[in-house]
Amino acid sequence: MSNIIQMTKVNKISNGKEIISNLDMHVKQGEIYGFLGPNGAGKTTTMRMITNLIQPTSGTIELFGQLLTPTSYESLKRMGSVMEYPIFYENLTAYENVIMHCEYMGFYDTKAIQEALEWTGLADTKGKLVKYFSLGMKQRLGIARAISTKPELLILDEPTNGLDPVGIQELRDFCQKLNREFGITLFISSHLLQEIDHLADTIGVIQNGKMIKEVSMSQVRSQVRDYIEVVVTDSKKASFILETKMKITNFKVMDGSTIRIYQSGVSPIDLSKELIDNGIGLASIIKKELSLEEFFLETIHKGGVPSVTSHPIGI
Amino acid sequence: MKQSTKEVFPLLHLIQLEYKRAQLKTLVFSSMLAILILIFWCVINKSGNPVGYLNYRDAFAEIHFYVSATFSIITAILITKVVLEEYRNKTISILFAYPHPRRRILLAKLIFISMFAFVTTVIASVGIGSALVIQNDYIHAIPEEWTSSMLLEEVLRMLLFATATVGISLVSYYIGMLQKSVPATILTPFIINLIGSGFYYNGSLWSVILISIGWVLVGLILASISLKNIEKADVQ
Repeated sequence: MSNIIQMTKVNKISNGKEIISNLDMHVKQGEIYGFLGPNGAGKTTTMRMITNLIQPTSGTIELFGQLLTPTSYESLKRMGSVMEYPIFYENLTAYENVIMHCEYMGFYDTKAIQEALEWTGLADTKGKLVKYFSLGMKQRLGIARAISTKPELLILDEPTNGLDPVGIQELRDFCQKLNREFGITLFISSHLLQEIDHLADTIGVIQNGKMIKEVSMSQVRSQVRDYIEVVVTDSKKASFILETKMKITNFKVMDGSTIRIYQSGVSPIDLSKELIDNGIGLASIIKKELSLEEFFLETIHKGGVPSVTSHPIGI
Repeated sequence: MKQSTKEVFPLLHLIQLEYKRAQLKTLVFSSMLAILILIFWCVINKSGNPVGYLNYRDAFAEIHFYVSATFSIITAILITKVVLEEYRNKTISILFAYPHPRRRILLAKLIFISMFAFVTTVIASVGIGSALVIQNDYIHAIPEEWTSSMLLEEVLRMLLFATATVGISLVSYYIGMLQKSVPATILTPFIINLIGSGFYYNGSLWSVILISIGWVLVGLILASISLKNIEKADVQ
């Protein structure tokens, strides 16, 4: 599969500060790409570079297989974007805003405009000026506007901002529909993993302007391991027993009372018996799955989990 | 506009979109109100001259001055609406992400603004000038015959002053854009007209020609400076 967005060694220095450093990114055609990172990591800057609002200081960006330059107007015609806090002409109605957008994009299909408004549930707002819209409605209008020109690539910057849980779920379903039924490639940024982990095919993690990891979710899911968490009276003593008596090496002492055992083939029954026999009080013993959240936290703080190779997707 | 025309003349299309978006209703209403007030002031009240106008030249000098001053300020209001508000509301970042050169987008705005300045100045001058001539036809307040050579000269001056108003508007665009400041945009034409008021009263036709061309040149130079490097600038 070919890459619809490819960024190579992209740097952005603004006011003497390095905002993006040496960023590589690969978004494949037809996938949903989750762009994950804490606030201020450089997500919006990266997206503004893709939409040609900001020029990289060095490095290259390719869109649809073509180098993006300040005059790549053909590439801009093929994508739609919704930036954080979508901006509109507040004194126009939803319909007028979308029409205006289409006029500038050079795309004239009134049916598509009507469809986009219907899809986002805004078809019955005729006559209502955008300045009277709620934030949730504005978010939906942003999407309506972006998809009204039938783009091949849709860029959504923090699309769940200001949405209630129902709205977030609707948005997720909507993104999936766009992706599956219309084959639109989606590039979605978020600072919360749980917002995109069920949606994304690939996740790129950015921190301090650096791409820390790009990983396919199917790979992550297969790598996420089970572990046993035991809560004991004395984790120091317990860890000694695990090592010497049970010959378990792959475990981690979380705090004064909690231990996580990652090693496979450890029976909780044997484990509890051994601990109790050695005079250690056992408060609880649970079999758990390492959550994606923890997986990514581990990735961010330690620079990679050894069991998952970096850049596992075909580059 | 037909689809093909949109593609062949993208600039015209963009000017049309600016017009659609500007929602000129309020501004047109204020312009008409301004014309009525100026008819009252310049024609009925003789611009506050206790003895009235001695000749048509004096009368039209007042009309040209008040019209240019008023409509360069009304144009400045349009500039804040069409340009500064786009920057303040960040809608400019939508426009700049469109498949058009940024220069073309801003040029469409500048042409739209210039057209507005020119057309409103001409309409106001014609309206107020006609009111003066018609009034004088009845009450003969000006002890002078209205001749066709006067008509020709005043029309010529009117066109030149309208051109100068375009130039002054471009200057106020440039000054206002430096700090994206609404007061600076509106104060600039006010100050220029205040300082240059003598030019409306004492200037010979030749000096008016030179000064009008001068203003347009200054305006065009400043506008082109503001469009320079716009393509690569980062939009925040």
